[in-house]
Amino acid sequence: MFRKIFRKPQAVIGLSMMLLVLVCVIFAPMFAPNDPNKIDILHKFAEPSDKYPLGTDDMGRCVLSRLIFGARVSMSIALPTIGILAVISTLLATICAYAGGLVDRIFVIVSNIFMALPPFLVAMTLVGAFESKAFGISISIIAAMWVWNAQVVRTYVLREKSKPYIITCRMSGCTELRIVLKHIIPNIVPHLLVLYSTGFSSVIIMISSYAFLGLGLETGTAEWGAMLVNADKLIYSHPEMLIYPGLCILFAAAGFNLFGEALRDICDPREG
Amino acid sequence: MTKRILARAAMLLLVMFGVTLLTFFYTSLSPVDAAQALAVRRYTRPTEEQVTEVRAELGLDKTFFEQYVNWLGNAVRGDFGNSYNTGKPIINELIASMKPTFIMAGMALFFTVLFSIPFGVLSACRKGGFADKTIYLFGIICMSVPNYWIGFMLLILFAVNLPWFAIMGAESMKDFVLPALALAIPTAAGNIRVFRSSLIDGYSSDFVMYARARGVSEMKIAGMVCRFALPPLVTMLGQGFGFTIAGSAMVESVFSIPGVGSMLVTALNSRDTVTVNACVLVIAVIFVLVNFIAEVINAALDPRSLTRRNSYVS
Amino acid sequence: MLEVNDLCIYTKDRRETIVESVSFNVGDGETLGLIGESGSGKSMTSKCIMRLLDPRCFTITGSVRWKNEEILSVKLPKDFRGNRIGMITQNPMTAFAPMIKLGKQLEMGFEPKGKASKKEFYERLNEALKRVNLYDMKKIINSYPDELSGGMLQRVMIALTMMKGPELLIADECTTAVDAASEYMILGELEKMKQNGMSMIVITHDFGVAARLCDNAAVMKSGRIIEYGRIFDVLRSPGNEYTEQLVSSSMLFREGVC
Repeated sequence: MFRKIFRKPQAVIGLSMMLLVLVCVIFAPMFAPNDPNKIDILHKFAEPSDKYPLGTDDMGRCVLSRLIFGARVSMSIALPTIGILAVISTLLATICAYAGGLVDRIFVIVSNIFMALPPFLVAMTLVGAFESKAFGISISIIAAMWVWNAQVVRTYVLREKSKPYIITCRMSGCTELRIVLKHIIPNIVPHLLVLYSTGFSSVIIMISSYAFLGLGLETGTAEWGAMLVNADKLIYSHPEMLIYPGLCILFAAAGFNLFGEALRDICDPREG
Repeated sequence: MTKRILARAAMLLLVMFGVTLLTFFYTSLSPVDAAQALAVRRYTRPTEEQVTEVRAELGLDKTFFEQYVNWLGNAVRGDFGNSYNTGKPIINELIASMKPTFIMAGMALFFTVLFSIPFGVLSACRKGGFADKTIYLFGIICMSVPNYWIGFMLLILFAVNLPWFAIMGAESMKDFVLPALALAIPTAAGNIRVFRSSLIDGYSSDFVMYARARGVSEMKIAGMVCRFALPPLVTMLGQGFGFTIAGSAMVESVFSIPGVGSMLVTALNSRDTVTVNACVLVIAVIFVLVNFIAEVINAALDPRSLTRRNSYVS
Repeated sequence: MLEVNDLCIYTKDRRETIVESVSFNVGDGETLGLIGESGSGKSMTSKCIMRLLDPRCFTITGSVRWKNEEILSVKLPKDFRGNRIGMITQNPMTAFAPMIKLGKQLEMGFEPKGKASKKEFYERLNEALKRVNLYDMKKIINSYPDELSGGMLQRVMIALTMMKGPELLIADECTTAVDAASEYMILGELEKMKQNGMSMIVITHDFGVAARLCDNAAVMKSGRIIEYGRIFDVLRSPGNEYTEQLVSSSMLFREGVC
């Protein structure tokens, strides 16, 4: 499968974008020319120069540095969030879908109830309930999104479960646990990769949305969404303050989306 | 048939109950003691007695379930209590703020349909061609940005550089166009993919081939493919409407529209749990209802969807 | 009646050859058997004749002439498919749209307008259905396709063909996916239609079926015709090893019935 990935230009582009963001996260201090939180009121809204490649914001902080470090904030919340989300929804959905019967019915009814609340709503409500802000964002997103992901995973598991080779496995004496671990899960992994790649970009966008609403992080954190908070006052004077963080979000999310969609084309090819 | 509809309606009621309970539970997780907060606001340095008084007044001294039942009973009658913040009845402010949000969401739905269907059809017909690829790329970009950023970009383009629209306000219909567009564009991007996919599936299926083979006209075939491809789109449109209302907070902030989203965010930031409860409940109920309507429309397009078990495997 | 000359079908970028240099004739009242294993190109050839292949996905060269008129590259007249050349497909379960009631779908090929016209249509349908042993028309027209069995749906398709009355029928593996009783009935009906003067192209992998219905036979392998002639010539003295294997693999001949 890896060969197929590298043959598809879209996948390669997406992967490169993802890697670039990752590099920014790890090597932020090396790339950023200045300290992202260093306030220098005297030099606010400076023109782009050698010292400040993209100029400064309303508090005199280097814009480029803030953007680069912003990757860190977003990723450090997004990665564990999507990781836990993946584990929870996959486990739950696999168990319920594979067990079938009453367990599955209960799961469906419970899911219906949870899905009756739009995820953003749930997350907004929960964010306020936690002391540690970043942790709060993470938990809120997980609580909001697990149902939707679990529903999709359930569909995949059900489809896999009804394939003839599973019957063959059972007949040749495979235990149920072995079937799940060795056959079902490995066969849905490609689909899961698609789901969670595109899910990752949703999480990035959600995080920036909370920061924008002031619901999550401390004010002044170098985070892309947060950088847009005060920007609506600047729309006439410094529109670029609005454009840069958005472009960063676009780059990061698009990378994951492109990769995920390319992966989807590989897993589910459509004959012409 | 009626038995199926009744079963579905029963499930709907069950879901509504569950939703209200879940909402109440979520908002009760707030670590802030509302009684304390209100007492402080009233008396500046409240005594133990005063806090207890306020607590009893707000009904917060009862158990979770008692509170829930009371609240639900009142809510059904339209009485959401008074805001901790303003002390005024929530219901009035709620109704007032629903109006702009609804107008915005309705317009967004209109734009979404306007974009999804033609571009979906175009993509499917010119599959693999230049138009298809361009729409795809554009779609990915639109799905990779938050809707409020699109709002900002639209503002910069059409309100700052070209003085066609006002920057803020919610007076006339014209004011809602840009926010509705900001909401519609990311939603439409996803819908276009889904619709295109369904159309391609439809046109490459056996029944279309056989229908052509026996001389059915292309118009009739197009009609059949529509009935085949529309249900997933309708479902997404219904969900999209709900998501739009729920996520309207950010766009409302960008365009300074006093809608439900803004009301909710203000309540959250000021720990006004009662208002939060009310807003979340109303939005959730609307979400469930709109999804139900989408299901009904789908039942008309594909009557077998009612008899199929609710298993998400469509 | 139908002349196919040097028909070639490739994928759009010409990377894969699906069918190459296929030529055969079907005369008035004649039945041709297109015999071969799965993937030999038989279905693709017949779909190509009916112009059911998407030109965006395939490159097609050669000539197909119907009653001495070239039909491959021109715009087909409206009533051509179904009325001149008809088709019965292999998989009856997917041949009809799953979410529309059968009655409505059956009407679609005929477009009866007005109450009287509709009444006449349903009467004709009733007659046709009775002839294929389907006596409960009301149940059938009010059912969805997945509520009926494959054999029943196949018989509905035959009934449709009888109503349309094409001059040439392409029967694409129509007995492969159905039960023995339905197969018996379908073959019987096809024989009757042949006796009434209809030309046919019977696509099958079973020489037994071919022997019963066909006058001529064309054996296809990997997109090419490797043998072509009168059916009994091909059966008795197959020109190559592949044909021999095909013949002997048919149950009928293994038992020594023929």
